[in-house]
Amino acid sequence: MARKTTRGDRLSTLGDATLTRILSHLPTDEAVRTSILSRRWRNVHATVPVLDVVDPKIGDRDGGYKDLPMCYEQKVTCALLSRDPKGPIRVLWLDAYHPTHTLLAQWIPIALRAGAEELDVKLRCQEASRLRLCPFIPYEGASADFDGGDLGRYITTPRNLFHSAMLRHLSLSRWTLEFLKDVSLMPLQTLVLHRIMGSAEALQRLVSSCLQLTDLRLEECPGVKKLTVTSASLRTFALICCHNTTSIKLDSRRLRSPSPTMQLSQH
Amino acid sequence: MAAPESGDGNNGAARMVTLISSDNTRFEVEAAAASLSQTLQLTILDGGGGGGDGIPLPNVDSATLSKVLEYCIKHAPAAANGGAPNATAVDRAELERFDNEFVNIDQSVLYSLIMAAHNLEIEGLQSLVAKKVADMIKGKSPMEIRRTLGFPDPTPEEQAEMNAHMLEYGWAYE
Repeated sequence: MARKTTRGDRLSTLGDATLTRILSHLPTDEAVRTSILSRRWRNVHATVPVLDVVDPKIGDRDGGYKDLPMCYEQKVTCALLSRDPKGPIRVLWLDAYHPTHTLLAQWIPIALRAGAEELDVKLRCQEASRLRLCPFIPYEGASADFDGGDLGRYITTPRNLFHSAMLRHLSLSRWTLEFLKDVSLMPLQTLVLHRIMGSAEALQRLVSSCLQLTDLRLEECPGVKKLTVTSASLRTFALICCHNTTSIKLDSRRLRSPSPTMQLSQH
Repeated sequence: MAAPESGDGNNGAARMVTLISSDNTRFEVEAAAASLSQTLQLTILDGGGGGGDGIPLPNVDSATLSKVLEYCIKHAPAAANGGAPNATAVDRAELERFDNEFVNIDQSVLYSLIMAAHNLEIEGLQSLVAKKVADMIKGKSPMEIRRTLGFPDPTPEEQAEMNAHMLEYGWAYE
């Protein structure tokens, strides 16, 4: 049957690299769904270098999603398994509510081994701590610190997360950070830490180990007390609601850039 | 001195190059703008495209090339100082506004741009147009995507194949 060429057919004539690039801008499940469009699109999703899966659950453990036929962990694991194993993973974006930490500890090294350059893992959980760790918000019990009952509630970062020769951007939310003896994150440029439970020493060790850091953002990390940033390439530094901070030292003798943009916000 | 000094301080006056579209229209642009194309960059570094010569682009028609160059001219200053570092928030906001407006175009023009950006290897433009197509797909069911992208309605055979496929990739349809 002869068909006239349509616009859809025209898009389908583009090379794999272009189609892959288009799908890189979609959440992973939506990218996979394009494989149904036609034979041309069947395997394009398998080489998309971005893994982007958001957990729809909010609130309590089931988050009103008791009827979800597929749990988040299954979804992420299926997304990983449906990939071409030889294709690189450049970006891993996860936003998870109470994930099973044994699986979480598998996904991250898989992405790192596959060449991840950007890793953004936001965890959410039920917690007694205030929505904002800030003593100045107009609520009773407003505090700069985590609620005592929540200590130890956040999942501890897997150790292999801090050994990568590829990782350039790392963003973590609601994790426990242990003191690490050896960290090797040489190429890391961006570090964003939000609601991290960790001692001043643990945070300092991580920051000091990133010698190429250009952008550093610390938000609601009550563990930050005295912090020295020694990266010579620092361009921006933001400190937001880290109310236990007593001193920040930027080792400016080593600064190559003119002067970093500072944002200090304690509200 | 007649020639104005250019801001980039390389060779005084900004060097111009000529590009020739598939339908033989000549476009004269600053070398810095045309060099956003990885494909053209080497030719230009070798001194090509100047004087009476032009660089022929047999795969790009004049309508598309004029659109591509509009993008390159706007983005060249930011690219010259290595992207974001020294750009002010105002500059970045202005570029973003330009980009949004730039891809607010008919689908057939968009597809021509995708191919041109790919052939000329213009990184920023490739990302911009890819994101635009992704936004057209986002949040739609497979049938809606087919319609948006202008696929013909599936034959019964294709429909059966789609249904089987949907079962196989059930996890992505939750």
